[in-house]
Amino acid sequence: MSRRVYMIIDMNSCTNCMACVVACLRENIARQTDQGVVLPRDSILYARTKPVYIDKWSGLPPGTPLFIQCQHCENAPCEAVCPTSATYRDDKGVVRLDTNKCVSCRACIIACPYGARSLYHGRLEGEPPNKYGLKPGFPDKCNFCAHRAEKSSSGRWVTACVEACAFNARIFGYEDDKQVREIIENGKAIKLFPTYGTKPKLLYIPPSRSRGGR
Amino acid sequence: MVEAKTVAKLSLSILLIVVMIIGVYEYRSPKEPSPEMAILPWGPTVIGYIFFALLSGGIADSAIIHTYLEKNKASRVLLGRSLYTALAVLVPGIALVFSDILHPENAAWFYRGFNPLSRIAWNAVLYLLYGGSLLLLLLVLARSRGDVDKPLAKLLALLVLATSVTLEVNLGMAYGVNIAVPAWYGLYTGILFVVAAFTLGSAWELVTSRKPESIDAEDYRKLARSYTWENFYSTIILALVVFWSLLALYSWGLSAPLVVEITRGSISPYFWVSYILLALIIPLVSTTTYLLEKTSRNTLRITLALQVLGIAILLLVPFNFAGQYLRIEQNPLYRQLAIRIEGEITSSQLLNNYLYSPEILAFIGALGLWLLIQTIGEKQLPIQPPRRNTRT
Repeated sequence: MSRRVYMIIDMNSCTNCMACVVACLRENIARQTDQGVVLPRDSILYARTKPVYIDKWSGLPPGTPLFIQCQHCENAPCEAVCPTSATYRDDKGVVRLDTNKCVSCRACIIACPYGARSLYHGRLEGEPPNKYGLKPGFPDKCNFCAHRAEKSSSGRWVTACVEACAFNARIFGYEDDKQVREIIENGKAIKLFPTYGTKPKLLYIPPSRSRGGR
Repeated sequence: MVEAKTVAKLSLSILLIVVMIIGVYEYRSPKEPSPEMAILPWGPTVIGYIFFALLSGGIADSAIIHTYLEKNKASRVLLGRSLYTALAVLVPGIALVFSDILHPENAAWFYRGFNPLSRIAWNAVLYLLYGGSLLLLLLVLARSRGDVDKPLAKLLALLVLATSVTLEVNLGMAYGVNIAVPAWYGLYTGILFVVAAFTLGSAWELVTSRKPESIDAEDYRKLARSYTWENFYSTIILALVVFWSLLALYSWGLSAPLVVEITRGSISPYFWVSYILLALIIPLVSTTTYLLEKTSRNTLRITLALQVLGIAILLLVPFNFAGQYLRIEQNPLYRQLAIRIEGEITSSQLLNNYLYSPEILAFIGALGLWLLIQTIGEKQLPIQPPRRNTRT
């Protein structure tokens, strides 16, 4: 098996500034048209990383901010249920969607325990901001900015959300990178819903104390 | 000359097809884009095509069992017509599949990109196998003037039976494999769909079929009684499956709130009135009294039509809607997502959005396709038993 990429979100460093959300919208959702930049209505719902505040969840303090986004599971339920193999894991373990194969049966939305898929059901002017940007009628998801990965000759890239974070709350890299490996090994980072056996590759370092919700 | 009854049927079917087209158009081209599909991805259209597939499978299964296992005289003559009805109700189901998937232009990938782990991928294969074998069997019967004893007809009948039951189980398991939806997770969904298919199939035959002139009244009465017994037993088994699954879900802590919601919450009228009253109690009373020869066939027809409606509503609301709603209630991520989309969420508000949608129009209108194909078939195709020669 080739090296897998991981993302870790340190909620102690996260200030809820939403720069990651805005960066994702700009990178993957917003469309440039003759009339200016077009965003879907309620655009935050189509960001591939969506901020939420959890009131009740065992093990997490109340008001914990989390991001709803693809967890890039190693045992991805969305991949298992996809009838056309449109959802697949690439050689780096990134769960991707091939819109040329997807029929939009929404089985992946049903199968995902993390609410990571959103579907824009309507029309949008202009062209997607990149070749894997939001397209109407498809169960859209985070792909760790795959278009950036494809442009990289070294096999290393940063995602838009990581690039935008001024507080280094998002850590992104291969599993054998020193920083990623240490966090995985020291056990401080948690996986959401571990009992489902999905083996996510997006981990959270929970806040050490409650912040209260917004 | 075309009879007035046929004209009325054709007019009604065209009206319903127009309703379906409006529903499909409105669903596929919404005026206001809604992000609700992230929390309620499977709407009434999904249940629409499942309903028609179960109905078709149920009709074919029953006809084949009465013909080959029970060796019922009338059923042997009427097999072609019953199988044609099964095909006629499968067509709206397939039309709804293509209405539901938002990118039908990629449908070839069901086969080109076949994922053996996916139940939906297997459904695509099973639809083809079931529909294909049904069509072949009809052709064989038409060419042999309804000779059900031809070895090829027997072989194809076996294939139709096997593929339809497998399709019914597999449609259920497309729900049952979802560990992320606690209310559906488990084997019961497959069993529920098979039993529902037999109940729907026998009810539909009793509601829609009429005695052809060529069949002896006593033979036809025996067939009607066979279907009535079948409906009686399958209704009881369906009730056992429903209550067993509710008990199992209740004893599994994660799904207990679903049972409370279905039996006492805002969804409860759909369970008590649609399922318990229309799909269970009334049909059981009417089939029992019919078998005891205390009620007429017309009363039976009306009550079993209500049963079909009751099962459709059971699948639509307590099964499909409630499962997705429970996930919103229980999964903190889905709950937060729903709050972002809807503001404060209640089951009745979400249920309103779900039921008052163009998808319901598409579901109801799809009946027009069945009526059109059935009416044309009965007039134009050799699916009716030959008339008896009345000259002496």
